[in-house]
Amino acid sequence: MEFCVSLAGVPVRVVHKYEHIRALCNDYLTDEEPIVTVFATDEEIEAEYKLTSGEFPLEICEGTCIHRAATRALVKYGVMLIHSAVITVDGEAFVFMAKSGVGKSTHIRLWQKVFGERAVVLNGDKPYFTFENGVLYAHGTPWRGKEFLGCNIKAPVRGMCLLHRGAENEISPATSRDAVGQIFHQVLLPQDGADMAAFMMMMDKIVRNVPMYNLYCNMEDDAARVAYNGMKGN
Amino acid sequence: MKIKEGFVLHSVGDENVVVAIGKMTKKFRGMIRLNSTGAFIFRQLEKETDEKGIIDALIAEYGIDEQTATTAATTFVSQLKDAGVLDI
Repeated sequence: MEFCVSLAGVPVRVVHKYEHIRALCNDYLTDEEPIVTVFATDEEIEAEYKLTSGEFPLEICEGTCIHRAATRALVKYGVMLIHSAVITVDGEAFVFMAKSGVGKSTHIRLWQKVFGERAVVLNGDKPYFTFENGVLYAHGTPWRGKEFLGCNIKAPVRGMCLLHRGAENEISPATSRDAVGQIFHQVLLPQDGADMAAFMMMMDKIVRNVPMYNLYCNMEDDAARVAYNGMKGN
Repeated sequence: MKIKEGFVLHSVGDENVVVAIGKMTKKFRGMIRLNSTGAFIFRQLEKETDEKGIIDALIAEYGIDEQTATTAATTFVSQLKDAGVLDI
């Protein structure tokens, strides 16, 4: 079975075995001629199944493997995955990176509560990023994490936060060293040498051009206000 | 000695990072960060050289004395060996 999706603006043919991935991609279907084909082999699906100790059925594992294949294939087209949660307010994207379990989803829920209809969750787990005319854009993807947060939109990135838990809410600019250390943990490194070079150039462009912050926050509404005001320069 | 095939150095922001490519990605995941001197020595080791070659290059590049250059070269080469990045 196969279908075509537009991922971060790139038409991709997905060849698949299980229904799950087709349903997941429903909002991303396109009539455009695909320029990339991705699929997962039985061996890859089986390996993923074993890696997650059978926690997820094979059809979910196929979705994960296809995501990985798409992410690797899209590097050539200037598309990068950064494992993060992205919320937009008034059309601008705010990106939150953190170690697993710190509370990215919880934090963006606070934004929804504080900003109401002005806030739209772009993606809760695996957004893609591209540069257009020197501006970094975040793109929604079919892979939205356990809570299925996100939709098929794109938005220019206003700022990126390295999220930490704190007693008080505090935001401050992050050093290049902090930013590189954190982003490296949130990406899928390419294997091919030319892809790696392109990938590193994009990461360099992100670190040099996009404002990066350390955000220490608790789970109160004020955390969203402090983060927003800090990134808006208010 | 020489850097093993499959290890590459890139600069990201103000950081120098070494990552694996190709078959080496099966053995090495993650990254090694280098300061600017480390990156300079890594570049020397991308072609076959020895400690003497590195020490001479350090003296020429930074205008430091031989003792300082020797300490820097020996320490860094030993760290690269431990990290499994160097073919000796």
